Amino acid sequence: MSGRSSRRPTVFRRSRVRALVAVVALSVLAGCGGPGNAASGAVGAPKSGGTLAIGIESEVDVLDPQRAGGWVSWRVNRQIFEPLVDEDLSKPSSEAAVPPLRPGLATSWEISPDGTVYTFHLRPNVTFHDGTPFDAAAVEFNIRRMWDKSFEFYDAKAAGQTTFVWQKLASVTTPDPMTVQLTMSQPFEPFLRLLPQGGSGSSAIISPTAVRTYGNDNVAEHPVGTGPFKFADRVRGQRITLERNDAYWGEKPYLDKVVFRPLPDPSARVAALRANEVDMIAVPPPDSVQGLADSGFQISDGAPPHVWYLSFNMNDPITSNKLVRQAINLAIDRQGLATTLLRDTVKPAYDVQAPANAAYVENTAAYGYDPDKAKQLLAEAGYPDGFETTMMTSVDGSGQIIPVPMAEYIQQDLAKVGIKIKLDTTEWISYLTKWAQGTSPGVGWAQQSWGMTTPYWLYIATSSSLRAPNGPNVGGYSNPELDRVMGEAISATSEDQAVELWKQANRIVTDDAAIAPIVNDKAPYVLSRNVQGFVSPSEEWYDLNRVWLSS
Amino acid sequence: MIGFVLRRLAWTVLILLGVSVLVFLLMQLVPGDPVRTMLGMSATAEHVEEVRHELGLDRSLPVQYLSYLSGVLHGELGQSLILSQPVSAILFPKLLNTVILSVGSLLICLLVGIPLGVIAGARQYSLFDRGSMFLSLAGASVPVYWAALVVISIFALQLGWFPTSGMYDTRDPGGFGDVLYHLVLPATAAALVPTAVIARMARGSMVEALHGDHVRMLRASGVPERLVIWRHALRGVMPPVVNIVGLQIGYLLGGIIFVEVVFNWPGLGGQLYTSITAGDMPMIQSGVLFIALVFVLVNLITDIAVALLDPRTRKAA
Amino acid sequence: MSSDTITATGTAGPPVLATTWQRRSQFKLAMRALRRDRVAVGALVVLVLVTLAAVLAPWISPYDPLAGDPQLRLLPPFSEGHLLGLDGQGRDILSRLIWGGRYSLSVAVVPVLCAGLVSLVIGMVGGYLGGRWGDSVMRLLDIVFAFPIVLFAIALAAVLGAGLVNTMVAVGVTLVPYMSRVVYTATVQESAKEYVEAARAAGAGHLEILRKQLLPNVLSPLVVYGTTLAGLVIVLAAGLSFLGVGITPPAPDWGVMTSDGRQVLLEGYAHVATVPGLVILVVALAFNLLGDGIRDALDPHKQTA
Repeated sequence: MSGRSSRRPTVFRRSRVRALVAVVALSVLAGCGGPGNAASGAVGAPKSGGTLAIGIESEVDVLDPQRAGGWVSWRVNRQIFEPLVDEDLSKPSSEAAVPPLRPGLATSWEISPDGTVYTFHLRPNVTFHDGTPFDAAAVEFNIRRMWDKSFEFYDAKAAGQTTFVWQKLASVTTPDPMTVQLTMSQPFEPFLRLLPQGGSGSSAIISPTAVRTYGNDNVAEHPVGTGPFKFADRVRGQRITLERNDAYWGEKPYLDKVVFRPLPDPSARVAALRANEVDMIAVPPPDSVQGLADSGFQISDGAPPHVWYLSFNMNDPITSNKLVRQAINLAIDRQGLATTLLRDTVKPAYDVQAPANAAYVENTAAYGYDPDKAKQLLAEAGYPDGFETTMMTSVDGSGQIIPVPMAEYIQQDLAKVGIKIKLDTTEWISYLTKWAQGTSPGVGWAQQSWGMTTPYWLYIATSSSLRAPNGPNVGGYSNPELDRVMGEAISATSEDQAVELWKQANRIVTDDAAIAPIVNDKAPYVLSRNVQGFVSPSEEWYDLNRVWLSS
Repeated sequence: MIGFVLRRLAWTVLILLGVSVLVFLLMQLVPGDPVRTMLGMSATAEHVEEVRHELGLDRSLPVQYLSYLSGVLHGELGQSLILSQPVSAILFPKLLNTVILSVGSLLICLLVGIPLGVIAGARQYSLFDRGSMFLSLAGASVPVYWAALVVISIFALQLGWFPTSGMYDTRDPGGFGDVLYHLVLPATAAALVPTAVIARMARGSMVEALHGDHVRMLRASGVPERLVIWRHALRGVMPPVVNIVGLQIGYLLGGIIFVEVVFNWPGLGGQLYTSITAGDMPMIQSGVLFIALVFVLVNLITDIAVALLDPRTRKAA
Repeated sequence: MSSDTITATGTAGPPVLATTWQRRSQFKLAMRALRRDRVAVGALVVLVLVTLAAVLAPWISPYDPLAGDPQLRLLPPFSEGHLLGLDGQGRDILSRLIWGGRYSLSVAVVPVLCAGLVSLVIGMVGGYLGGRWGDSVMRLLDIVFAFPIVLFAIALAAVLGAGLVNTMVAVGVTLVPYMSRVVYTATVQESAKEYVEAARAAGAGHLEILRKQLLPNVLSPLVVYGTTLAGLVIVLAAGLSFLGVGITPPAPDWGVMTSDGRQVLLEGYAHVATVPGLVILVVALAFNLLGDGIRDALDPHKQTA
């Protein structure tokens, strides 16, 4: 691993057969690991300049934030585009368990006492990267693109991704050039928190000029926003390059350039980092983290709103039995999974909401590891000798960590209480389709990784009106009491009131064991020693304008 | 000869048509729904239907196929369903990358495989013969994705001679030299299987040529052994070797997906794999057609080359 | 794994036995030649041992291949009680290898056998009919030839879904055109020979000619080719598992094991992928060498080492 900080020599050395044979033997026997570099002490004051190369875990789909799906795409789009209301990602999870809301392209906003009219005062003197001024007309243009079917630039794909943001919107008006007023058909408390979300579409604002010039499809090849970085170039499968936006309204980035390089193979990602081909990687294999830390790399992790969970099939004769679902919850050793297989890159999850969520309830007592009690419950449910069923999971995918080994771990735990499961594994993209169609008969549960900083996520995952294939409640869970509580939470007019109701909803889902939360990802990033100022906030994405490179 | 080429060209068109029908039918059965993939986890059924309609995916299958076909005939490959970009804009660069990798790997096959096979054939049953044939067979019996990682571990991480993956430097992408530097390891890994095939074929043909009456006559008339092998016998080796090289090109284009995945080489194989699982029909159609076209054309060219090298087969073709 | 390796052997002009009445004695000669071929005998011994191990797995496997101890995961080889170490789930690698033969060998042999039977029908009927009909059958297969084999297998596997049986079906279907072509070529060559004409003149029916005259002579190139293919198929199936469309975990298939172990190959636990990788290498090599041996034994020229 010598010369990690210097470039590789481009002159090929002549073969040294003996050395080579020795290395071959060594690497096959012992695998490869390098001597560590001690972390340097003082790094000095931030300085400008340089290119940050990031190895990301998959290809970005489209650089159109409203259409883009998945966290990977939003991590790039977020550097280019901004929403009206933003989340403050400058603090690590340890300082802000839930990222506070902060002004984005709107400097302030008011909500009418009945909770239906939102008035946004826009940030003055902001221009898009193409020079187009940012104003109320631009905001209206963007909202209509995602919501108004009669609009010339309406985009069904953007509308499909952002369904939940705009579903209660009744009208958009612009009382003056720097004010936008949105009227809802009914109070919709989660609205502000949904604006800065980006895993499934995003409300971030695109230059109307760019959309008009390039059209709804092609604007993704010419992305123009207001963010701290602007788009430079993209070669599919190889790189996306962003450059500093010197005209940025906020704190200007230190970095000259950021290069995102898709490296879908986890080992290739680690190898590229070790060979200094990239400065930072996402999603290192859990088994590589300790070795990388020992080699002098920095590990940055947080507590993003992530739950790796199982949705039980409510239409299956076995898993529709509450006792069975509770037994399964008790039979899985979450702590063991987190510390052995996943090497503490996750935390065991006991609440259906992630800790990065105001409605999180400390629930450890509910379903601690207790195989004896699980067996007892199974016997009570009429399955003293267990049963056989199928678990659906993907083989890879965004936020899925290492789904197959994790499923195998669960399989072994459940075997101990007599439950035999067959794994039905599918490649990620096909899996999304299969998952969205819901659990079919004979399938006990389907696995997914998701979560948001807004408690509203629970509604998306468990509301009876969103049962698959009509929505992401894939197990077909239906509980009128839960629906009622969530309905009240959604139309609450104060945040405190809403949070209390959401916590009540958590308890209902937990008691019913409709969902089995398994782990919360810490989403570790591994950085070279010279990368400074990177913060892992309580989100599935990050900001880069405070990041700088020391020499 | 011209009639033969024309007939083969007409046949090529029919094969491509057949390939496109086969791909179309096969892909109807793949579970992935491109619209669901595009709209993500929170899309409602209503929106999915809306986009399906917009993309024309709610039409009957024959109508969808014919509209695709008429597009192709007008030089229009259509748009990727998932990426909403023209298929040609995405596929052509990736095809080029795959061709670069294939050519690099083919060069290695030829430079290693032919001499290895010829020498092994000339010294039949020698230690060199047995050793080299065994090694090349072993190289072809290894799962490529595992071999590739071992190669990365040794030459990129331990020795640091080559980059671990990719096609260009991440921070400062260079030109041809940069590509060449990144090409060495993946091309070598991709060459493992075809080198073995070519070496074995060259050896077999060499043995056969050396057993022929022609060579026996030359030897009897006192021509030096070296000349017999490298000038006369080699001539008999070329037609089957050219033939097999043609087939290798087809294999490389479609089959280096494993190498592309492990080395993160932005080629057609990896792209098609993603497109297959997502059910992105226009991408799959055009990608497979590219490969089939190259495969059929290369075969045609090889057949012509073989015919020119060996007049006897001209009639048989 | 490779269309060309496959096609290569097919176009190499498989050795053909001259006449039926020489067949029996020639078979004896071939067996004798094969027995003298130490490499081929060695390969056969390896295959027999691996098969025996797989069959006897319940009795000889030291541990349960599916139950692991997560506390001990990734234990290195030569640890006490675990000769080849433990994998990422803490399962005994040696036990998994022994049981894994059941999957990997099935995937290698069953598709080749089934595809071989189907190819015999397609190839012989096509080759015997000849003319327009035979031509059209082969032309249809040309379409599949132009389809890159690895992608074809992937697409089939994606259609069928992951799993042992589906993997075998996907691989088997992929092999049919290649094996059919070998049978077709041999049938065409044989049909033109005098003894077939003689049989026909003597009043033998089509079926009788196909079964008694052609089948025995067509079988030998197919057996040679099929043996070599088995080696390639084991590697191809491993590749499918690697992409997630092959055999599903936790099945102790060798391909699945290699693919699992890749994740930790660079992290100091190279044994998890290397041990099953080497087993695949040895078994695939054994199939190839045995195929070579059979070919040599059948071929008076003895072309290949």
